[in-house]
Amino acid sequence: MSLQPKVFSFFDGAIQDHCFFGSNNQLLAITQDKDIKIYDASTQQLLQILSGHEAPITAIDVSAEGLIVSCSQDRNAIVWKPYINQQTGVLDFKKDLVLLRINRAAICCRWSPNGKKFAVGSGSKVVAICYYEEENDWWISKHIKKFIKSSVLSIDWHPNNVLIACGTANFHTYVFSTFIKSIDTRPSPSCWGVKLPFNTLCGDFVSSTGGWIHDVSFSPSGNVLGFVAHDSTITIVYPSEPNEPPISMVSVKTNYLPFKTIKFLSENELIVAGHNCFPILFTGNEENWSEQKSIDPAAKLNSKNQSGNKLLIGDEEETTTAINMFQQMDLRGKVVSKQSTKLSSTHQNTITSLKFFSKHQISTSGNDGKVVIFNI
Amino acid sequence: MEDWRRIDIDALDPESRLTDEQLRLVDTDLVSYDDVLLKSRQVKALLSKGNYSDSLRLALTNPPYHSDIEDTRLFNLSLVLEVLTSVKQAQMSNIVQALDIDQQDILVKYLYKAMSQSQSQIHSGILLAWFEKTIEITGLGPILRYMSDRRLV
Repeated sequence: MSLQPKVFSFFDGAIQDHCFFGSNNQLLAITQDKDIKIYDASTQQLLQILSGHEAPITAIDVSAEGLIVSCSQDRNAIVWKPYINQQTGVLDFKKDLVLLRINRAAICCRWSPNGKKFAVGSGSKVVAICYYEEENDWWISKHIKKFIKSSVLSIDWHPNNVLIACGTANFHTYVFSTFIKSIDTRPSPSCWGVKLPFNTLCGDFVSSTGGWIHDVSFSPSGNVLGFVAHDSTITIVYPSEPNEPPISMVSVKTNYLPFKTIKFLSENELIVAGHNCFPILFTGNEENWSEQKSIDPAAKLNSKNQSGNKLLIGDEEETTTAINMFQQMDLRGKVVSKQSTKLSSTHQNTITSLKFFSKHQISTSGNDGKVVIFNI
Repeated sequence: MEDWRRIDIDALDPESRLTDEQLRLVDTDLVSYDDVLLKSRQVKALLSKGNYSDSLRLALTNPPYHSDIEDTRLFNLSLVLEVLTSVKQAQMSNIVQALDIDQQDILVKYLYKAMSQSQSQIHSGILLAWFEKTIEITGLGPILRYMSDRRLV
């Protein structure tokens, strides 16, 4: 395995979200405005364009069973089920519209780990928990709206398929129960709670310096919660017992631009990425968390005095100083600027989505229209 | 599709606005005028000894946050400004380096606050020098935390 990241660049323009799916993650789904484009990851061939939304898509996610859910500013979600078309022999998708019953844009969506439910966060201060009802052949949406005071920007599922964490625009991160009798088995008691009927508030955390909560993540065990906010901090919460204050809450103030995504690799490792344009590995425990390394080999961590992600200047001598500029204007009558605006990192703009590709690889996508697979 | 988008529907929804109380995340101690007065004597004592590093650290400790005590907040600002203006440019970096990350955040808040006050405009050169040296050391984090933090100095 080479250490260099694998870069996919199919079109110009921002990518809201992406996901790899199929056997061996052969297929790649990317959002482009109102459509989802399906590519073959090895041949980079465009296979399908899925259209159905009437407004830009805000998020997509793939379930353990291979179903894709997309949500959009048109206030709907669509579940796409891949199948092989018998007549043509090519990959096709069955489309199922899910009525979320919300009156603002859907912002984020995530499948539960077992793929039986998905949660959609929205601008109408609710989280819609959706599940499939066999007898009606229909996706049902149930709302969690108690306590939530503003838009839900991010969602993550606890590994027990019942608890979700959601980050909101009023600086709070909540943990709720989404227990649904007909499809869930009663979860064993944990640090988050013992009895967990639907809509139970199991946790409410804030970062001390405020800021929108851009992303939340549970650790693999589900006993640790992390979130990143617009104040460039990472907060890691270690809950103690239900209704008790947490054992510890570690808030890491970083000197980067804010992070948009966070993912735990293990109980002691997490990856963040965002407006700084490259993913960073952090390690730590209940007492302290600190940055370890940049996942992107092309970008370095901020050292004590410098920003790690620098503009690449085309050529040392061609650095467009003012003198240089006027000399050129004098000699040639025009300015030939060789100053590039390229960043040293692989991504050239904000990373908005970060997902696991395999055990030791992550995939990211962002506003520069690239999808990149990094080796950890 | 076009017209109804122009209606401000949020104006009709009483729950659409968050109150200051709901936005206040962490309870902060109420700092009284006398607390700052006490602090100012200690700061001035340190200043007269030429101990700029400790005097700045003390001036930035426990700043008054509550919006209803504007005169106390301005008093603390003038105290911070007094320390900032007595330091020579060459010493700035070392002093910033000696602060911990929370104090650096508070320093940046005071720099912005000072720049917004008309009476401190005579010091703008010094303030900009402080800002430059501070950001060189701290990176962009404190600027973002200044913008997002509801605890205004």
